[in-house]
Amino acid sequence: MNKKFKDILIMAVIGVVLAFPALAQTNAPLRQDVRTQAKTESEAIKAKKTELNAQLKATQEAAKKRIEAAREEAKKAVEARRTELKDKISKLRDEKKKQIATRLDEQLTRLNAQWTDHFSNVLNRLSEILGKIELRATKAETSGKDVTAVKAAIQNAKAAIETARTSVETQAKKTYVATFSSETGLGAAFKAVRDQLHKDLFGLRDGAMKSAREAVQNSLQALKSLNF
Amino acid sequence: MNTSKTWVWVIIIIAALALVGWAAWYYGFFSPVATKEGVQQPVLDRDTTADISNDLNSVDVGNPDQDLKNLDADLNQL
Repeated sequence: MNKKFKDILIMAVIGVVLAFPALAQTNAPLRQDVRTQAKTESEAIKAKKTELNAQLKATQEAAKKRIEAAREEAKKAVEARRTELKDKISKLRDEKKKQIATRLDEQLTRLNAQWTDHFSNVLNRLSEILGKIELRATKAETSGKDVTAVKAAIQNAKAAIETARTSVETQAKKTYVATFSSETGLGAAFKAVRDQLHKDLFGLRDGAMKSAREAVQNSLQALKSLNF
Repeated sequence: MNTSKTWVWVIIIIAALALVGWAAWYYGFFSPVATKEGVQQPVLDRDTTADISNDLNSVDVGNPDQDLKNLDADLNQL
């Protein structure tokens, strides 16, 4: 009797030991649900990232082409005036003034191109940063956060960047060619053009460019307020 | 009599093991256990809010003043 009881007890213990891991798996379907959900969210973010990168690339390439087209347009528009200026410079009697005037004319054009390129690059960088904010907002949304304010701020920032891009394009179209009738008015003519370039570049920097940066900053601030 | 009893126990054990094995298979005991990473929140982009903040702080809109001042040296000679 004792032996029989002992055998049954051993069998029961073996049965429990073997059955326990299997019983522990009864929550396996739940775990699979969590995994599936995490995978779905992960794929949604991955898709968003791909979409944002494609958008950024397309926007940057389009902006580059727009600026190049604007410059080409400006170059054609000012061709006659530039030929006239070169002709007038070549008629100057002072050789040193000839060199300086030629150099200034080149520098004014180069500076405008250099700074419009710089502003365009800054806007590209701001777009990239905004993309990061948008991706993080998507992640926060999948985690159940209310991102309505962030999304609104992102839309404002996108609009501000687009406005700034248009302003940069307008600036790229501008031409800076001095106009003078006599050698005595040479300095004043170049100074007027230099002052106009100064006014335009600072106007762009402190206007549309600053607004775009602030709009991205506001988006980041909205994201920060989620504490995510 | 004892031999047949032993055989009955052997059959019961085999049946029990088969049942336990089937249950284990059915509930996914043999499939890879979910890893810790598998149930975490997805992290594909490693940029934290602080990283993004640093990126934005490093954006310099620039100052054309110095470049324009360089023109003044030539302008003053005209």
